[in-house]
Amino acid sequence: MNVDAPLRRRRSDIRVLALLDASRHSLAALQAAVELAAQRRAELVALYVEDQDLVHSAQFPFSREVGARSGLARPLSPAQMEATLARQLQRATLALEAAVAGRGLAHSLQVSRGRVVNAALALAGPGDLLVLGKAGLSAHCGGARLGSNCRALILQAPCTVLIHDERHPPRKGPLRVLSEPVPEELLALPLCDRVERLHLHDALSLEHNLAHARSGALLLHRAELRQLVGEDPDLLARIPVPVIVVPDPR
Amino acid sequence: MVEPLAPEQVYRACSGEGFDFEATSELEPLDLLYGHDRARDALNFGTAIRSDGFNLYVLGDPGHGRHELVAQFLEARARKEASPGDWAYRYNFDEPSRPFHLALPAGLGRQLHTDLGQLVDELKTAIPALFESEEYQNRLQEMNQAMGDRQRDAIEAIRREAREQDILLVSTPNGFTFAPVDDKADGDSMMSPEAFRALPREDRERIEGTVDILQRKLTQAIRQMPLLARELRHQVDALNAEMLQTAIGAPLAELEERYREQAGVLAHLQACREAMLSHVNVFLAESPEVSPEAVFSRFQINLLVDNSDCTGAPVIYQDLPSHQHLVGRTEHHVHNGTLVTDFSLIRAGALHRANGGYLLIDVRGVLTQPGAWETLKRVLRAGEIRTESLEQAYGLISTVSLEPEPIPLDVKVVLLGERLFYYLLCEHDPEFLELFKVQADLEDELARDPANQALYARMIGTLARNAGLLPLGRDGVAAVIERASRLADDQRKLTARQRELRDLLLEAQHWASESGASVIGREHVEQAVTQQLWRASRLRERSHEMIHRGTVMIDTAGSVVGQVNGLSVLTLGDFAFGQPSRITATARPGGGQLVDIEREARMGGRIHSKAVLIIGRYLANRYAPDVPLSLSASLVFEQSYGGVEGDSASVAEICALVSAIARVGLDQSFAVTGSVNQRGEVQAVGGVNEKIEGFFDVCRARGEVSGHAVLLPASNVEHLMLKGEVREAVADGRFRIYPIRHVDEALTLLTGTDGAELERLVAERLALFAAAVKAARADDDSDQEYSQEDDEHER
Repeated sequence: MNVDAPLRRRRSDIRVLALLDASRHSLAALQAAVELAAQRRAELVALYVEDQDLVHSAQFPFSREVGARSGLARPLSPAQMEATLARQLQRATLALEAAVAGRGLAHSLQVSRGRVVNAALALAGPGDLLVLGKAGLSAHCGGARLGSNCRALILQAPCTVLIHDERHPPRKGPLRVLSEPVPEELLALPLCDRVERLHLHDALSLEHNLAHARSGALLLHRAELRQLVGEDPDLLARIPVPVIVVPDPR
Repeated sequence: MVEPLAPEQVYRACSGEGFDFEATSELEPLDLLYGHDRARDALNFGTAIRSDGFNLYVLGDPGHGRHELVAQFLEARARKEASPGDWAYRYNFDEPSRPFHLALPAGLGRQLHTDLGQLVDELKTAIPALFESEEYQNRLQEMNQAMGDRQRDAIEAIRREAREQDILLVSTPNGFTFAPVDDKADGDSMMSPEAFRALPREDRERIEGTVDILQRKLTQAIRQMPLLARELRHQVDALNAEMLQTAIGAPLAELEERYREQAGVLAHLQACREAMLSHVNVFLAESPEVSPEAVFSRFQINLLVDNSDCTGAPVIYQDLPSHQHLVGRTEHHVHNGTLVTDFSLIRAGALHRANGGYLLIDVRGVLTQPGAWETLKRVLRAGEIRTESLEQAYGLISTVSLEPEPIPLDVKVVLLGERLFYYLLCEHDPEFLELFKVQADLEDELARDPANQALYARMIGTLARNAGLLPLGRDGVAAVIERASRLADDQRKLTARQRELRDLLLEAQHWASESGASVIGREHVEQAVTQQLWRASRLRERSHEMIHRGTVMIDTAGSVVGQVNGLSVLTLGDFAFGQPSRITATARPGGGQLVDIEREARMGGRIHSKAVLIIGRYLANRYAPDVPLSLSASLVFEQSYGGVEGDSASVAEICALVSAIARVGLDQSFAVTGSVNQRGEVQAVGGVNEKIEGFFDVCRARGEVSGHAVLLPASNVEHLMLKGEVREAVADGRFRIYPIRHVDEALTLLTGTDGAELERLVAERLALFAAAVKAARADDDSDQEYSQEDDEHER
C-alpha cells in the first residue's frame, strides 16, 4: 500500500480559509491566503461574518460610538450599522475578486451572521489552513496585540492557523521550530526553504532571537503556544515573521 | 694729431693673476646677493619689520635670476624663524555653510586628524553594538511594554468597570460602544435590544446613566493616549541619551584630556558630543534621513595646512598666482546632477601655506590673472584670508555656497618684477605703496676692480656649484669675467645679471664635457660665447652679405665728397650687431636751411631731429658766425627703410656736410660714430663694441683689413671690450681706432687735410654761395624761393 495516497487525496481536499472583516489586517491576510491557495492549488474559502453583537449594539436607545483615536462620542443607529456592515461586505467581496482575478483559483465567499469565532470553527476542518490577520477590529485597543477572535481561534481551531502580519510582508526563509515533528505539508509552504531548530523555550529569549528576523516563519505547536502566551500574552503580536500554529496531534 | 688706440686700450683682459686658486672648487661659496648691497639691506629690513604694509617689491630684470637670489635669501632667513602652526577647518553644527577655522600648533593637526579618525572608527562599531545590546533592547522593550500596558490598562480598566456594572465594551469598526450584559445567558453575552426594551423603566434608565458615565470616562481615557505616547518618546530619548553617553563619554573624555589646552578642539569635541546626542535616531532608524557616515564625517577636520614637516618659516613660490591659487578654493562633488560641497572640500591656497612665512609672486603673473591683484591687496589690507570664488567675491552668483570663517594672515609678500611695473604701479595704483612699502632694487652692474674680481670669481664658483657643474679653472674664470665686462659694455664694470652668467656656465660645461675636460677652461667659455653669437647671427650675416654683394652700397676704400660711413646698431632679442650705413650730404646756395630728409619723410625720430638741428646751428656758428649762412644743404641715411633714431651719427653727418661744402673727399676706409654738441665737442654713444665689430666684419668680408679705421668718442674708450679678431688687427696696425674729442679731429682724419686748409675751402665755398644768392636776388625778385628764404632768414 502506498502511504502517500491518502495524503495526496487529502491535499486535493485542502482548503485555505481566510477570515474577512474589511480591516487592513484581514485584507492583507487575504492576499497571503490567495498566494498560499494558488501555490498549493487549494480551494480558497473566504468567510465574512456579520457580527451579531455589533448589529445589536447599535439598537439600544443610548447607543453611541466613541472614536478610537479621537475619543469623540457619536450617535450610533441600527441603520448606520447595517449600512456599515453592508459596505464592509461589499469591500470584502471586491477585495476577494481583485485578489483572485486572473489566477483561475477555486474560491467562494461565505457570508453568515452570528459570532465570528463560532462561524469560523464551524467552517474549519482538520485539513484546512486558516489564515488570520493579527488583529481585527480590536487593533485600535492600543499597542500591538492579537485580536480577541484571533486569540480564540489559534487556541481552538481544529486546523493549522497562519497568522499574518501586514507590517512584515512574508519572505522566503527558514521555518523555525522549537520542537519536532514538523508537518510535512508545511515544508511545501512558499515562505519556507529549510527547517531551523531553535533551542529556546521562553518567551523573552524567543523574542530576542527573532527581533531582527525578516524572512521565513515560526512554527508553534499548540502546547508550546499555550506556554508562551502564559508567559507573555502579547508575545505573538511582536514576532516580526508569520506564525504558524498547528493543533496538538490526536 | 690723434693717435690710434693701443691694443690694451680696446680690451681689458683679465690675467687672473690676483686669483689665489687653481679651480673654483677651492673657493668658499658666496652669498648670491653679493654686490647687491642695497637690495640685501632692503630685504633684511623688509623681512625684519613686522608692521603692516611692509611687504617687498624686488626690482630687477629676468636676467638677474631674481627668483633664485630672493628665494635663497628668504630660505636662509626662514630657517632661523619659528615654524607656524597648522590650520584646519571644522564643521559648524549650527550653521553648516560657515565652517569654523581651527588653529593648532605645528604637527597637532595631523595628530588630531588621526585621533578623530580613530574616534569615528570606534564609535562606528561601539554605537550600533550599544543599541543592539541586551541591556538596551530589554530596557527599551520594558519601556514600550510598560507604556503599552498603560494604554491598554486605561481601556481595560473601563472594560472591567463596565463589566462590574453588567455593561460590555464592544469594538466597532471605528471605535467602541457599550451594551448591557444578558443576565440570563452565560458569560459575556450581550443583551438583545428587545430584552432591553422589556426591562422596567428604572433599570433602563440606570443602564443608560451608567453607559453615559462610562462613555465619558472612555473619552477621557482615549484623550490621554497622545500624552502617554509623548511621555514614552521622552523616556526613550532619555534612555538613548543615557546609553549613548556611556559609549561616547570615555573616548571623548580621553581626547578632551589630550587636547585640554586647545580651546578650539575642545569646542569641536563638545559640538560633536551634542550632535551625536541630538542625532541619536540616525543610529537607530533602519534607513535614516541622514546616514551615520554623514554624521561621523562632520567630526573629522579638514586639515588645510600641515606644517608638521616644516623646519622654520615656510617660503612659498606661487608660479600661477590666480585668485583661487592665492586664497584657496571650495571643490564640489556631483551628486544626482547637482553640485554639492561641504567644509571638507575647502582647499588651501598659497596664502594659507605661506601664512607665518613668505610668499613669492611674480608681479607680471599676478597682474595678468583676472582679479588676482585686487584679491592680493584685499587680503593684505584685511589681514585675513577669505576663501571664496571670484564669482562670490564679486557677487556674480547667488547660489548657496560655503563661507568659511576667514583665517588670520601673517605673511610677507615678496613681489618679483621689472622696474617698469614698479613705477607704473606707483603711478596708477594709489594702494600699491601702502601695501608694498619696501623696494629692493637689484644692481645691473658691479664695479670691476681687483678686490671685486676675486669675489666675482667666488660667485662664479658658487653658481657653478649650485648648478652642479664642473669647477672653473683660473683662466676659465678670467674668460667669464671678460665676458661679464663685455655684457656690461664697460671695461670698469661687470654684469650683475646672474641668469646670463649661469647660462654661459652651463654652455661652457657642455663644451668642456664634450672635450672630456675636468675643469672648465678659457677655451670652453670662449667656445660657448662664439656658439651663442653664431646661433644668433643669421640676420647679421644676411645684412652683411647684402653689403658685400653691393645691394646695400657701402664704400670701404677711396675718397668720396659728401659721403661718410656712419655706424648703426640693430638689436634683435638679446643679440645686437653693428653695421655701417652710408650718410650723404649735398650743399648748394640757399637761405641757411638744412634739410633732414629723414625727418621730412617722417622716418627720423625726435632725438635724430634734435641732433640735426644742433648740427645746423654748429655749422652756422662755426663757419658763418657773423654773416647769414647762404647754404641749402640736405642730409640722408642712404638705403634706410626702417627709420633712423638717435644722435650717434652726428659727427658723421657734420663730416659729410663739411665735405660737401668744401668739396673735399672723405676717406671711405673710415667709419665714424659719436654725437656732438653745439660747440663741436664729441659726446659718448652706446653700442660702440657692436658698431666697431660690425664695420670690421664688413671690411674683412671684402678682403684683407688694411688701413681701415673707426673714429669714436674718446669718452667711449673705456666701454671697449672688442672681440679677439679686432684686437689682433689693432695690434698689427691693420685696423685702427681713433678716440676723438672734437669734430675737427674727425675732419682732419677723414679728409687728410689740416684744419686751416679745410676752413679756408669751406669759407671760399660759402662766400661763393653768398654771392650767388645775392646775385640771384638782385637779378630777379620773382625768384620766390630765394626771396622767401631771405625773408625767413631775416625773421
